[in-house]
Amino acid sequence: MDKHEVLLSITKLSASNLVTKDEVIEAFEGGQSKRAPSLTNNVGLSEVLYFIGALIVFIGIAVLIGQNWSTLNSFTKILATLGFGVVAYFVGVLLNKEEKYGGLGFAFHLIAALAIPLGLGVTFNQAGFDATSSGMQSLIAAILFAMYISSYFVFKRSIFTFFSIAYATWFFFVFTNFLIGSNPTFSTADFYEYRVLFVGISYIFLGLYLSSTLQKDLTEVLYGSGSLFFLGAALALGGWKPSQNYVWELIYPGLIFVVLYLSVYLKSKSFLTFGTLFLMIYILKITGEYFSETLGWPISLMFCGIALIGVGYYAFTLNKKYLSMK
Amino acid sequence: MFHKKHLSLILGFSIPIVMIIFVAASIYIPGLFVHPKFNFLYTTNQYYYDNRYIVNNGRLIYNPPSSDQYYDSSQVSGLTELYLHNVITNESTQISYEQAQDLQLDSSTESPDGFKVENGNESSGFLFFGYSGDDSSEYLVGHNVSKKLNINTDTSTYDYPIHFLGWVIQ
Repeated sequence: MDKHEVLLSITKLSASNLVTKDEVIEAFEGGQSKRAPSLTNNVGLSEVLYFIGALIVFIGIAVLIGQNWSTLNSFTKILATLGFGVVAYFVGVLLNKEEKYGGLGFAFHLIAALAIPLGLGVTFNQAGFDATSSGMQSLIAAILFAMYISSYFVFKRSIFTFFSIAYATWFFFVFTNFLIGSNPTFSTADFYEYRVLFVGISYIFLGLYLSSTLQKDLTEVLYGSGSLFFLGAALALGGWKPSQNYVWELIYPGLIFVVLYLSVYLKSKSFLTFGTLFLMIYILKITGEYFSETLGWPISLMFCGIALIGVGYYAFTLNKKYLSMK
Repeated sequence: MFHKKHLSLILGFSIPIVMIIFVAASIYIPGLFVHPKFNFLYTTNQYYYDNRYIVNNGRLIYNPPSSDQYYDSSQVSGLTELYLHNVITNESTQISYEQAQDLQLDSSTESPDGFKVENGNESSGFLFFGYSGDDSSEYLVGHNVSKKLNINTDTSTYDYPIHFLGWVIQ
């Protein structure tokens, strides 16, 4: 079947409403994305070294600027941070165009994603603004979110979606910090926990959406971080005796089983891993909180150990029965 | 079809947006419906254990600092100022000791209509999360509402910038 026949077939299917414009575009983009290196699949030693190298480069920039802060002039400070970040971004874009470079482009994108916010902070600082305030950080996070979401629409790469979500999360935290200011109505710790909880739920929904798109490689990352944030925040909201919150402590096992159910329903090992891990932590917490004084630590530990073995076996069975075929 | 496919995307983005709207609404909207009625009197540059100004039987009394107090009273005596804060206009006016003596005061921490003057939380920076406030801000708190008080605390040299004296009953 040549190109002309394919296009003619699409025209016929479109005329009889058997295919939508979105489906045609999605099929086209599918071909494009197959040529692009994936963000999370096939992470090998070289990719790990790329990322470690990128982190070391960023630390080097930060230390260089920090050590020579008083001697460098404004232009040099901005050039070494923002300038370097922008260059790394474009190098990453160029390297991602060539499949032969594999994940090398991602390493440069990671350098850019760390160096550009630092550079924007330095730039605002040199312009006379307080870059550490939540208001200014909201602006920096908004600029970065706009930059990476625009990059996604131009280049259609998962890494831009990843950084868009990361900077949108940063914006969410700093902007809500900016809104509450020093308002004493909001307990700082509780408010952080609730925000982390809702970010976790948000990640799970975004992961669910991406599982039905061509950016499936981000799904497990979002499921994993979403369940970690959700269960971690809900556990923290339960508190510790004597200032515990009974409601959160009572509903927590239910939340864990929802996550474990999702692991089967969505065939996700991330949900199973974090659901099992937090069930174990919950058993240890409740034992330490309520039974260590009445039963004593030795018997409590025996009870805990047996419960953890049971949870481990349950997770193993669940994985073998429902997830190992994936 | 669109909604079914994109429902999770809409939910994923709308949860944080709804939370931002909720936070903004919970800060600004209750303040529109709850109105404190009682003005209050305070001093600046006074330690919380300093009893130079006290309220006795509803009247302000000045106690000159005794010489056995460990701080050097001569250094602060000239700085202590009395202010009357109007809760409706959210403005403070400096008044003299003689003017303050004419006020009928209630030194309870909570006003007759259920408000308190509280320090703001200091939200220190965490990694990339930036600080969001400082504890030199003062708030009028009550009925699940916090109103930031328009008080100039820049000149204060103390951890707690104002020293609350009492609610003005008359």
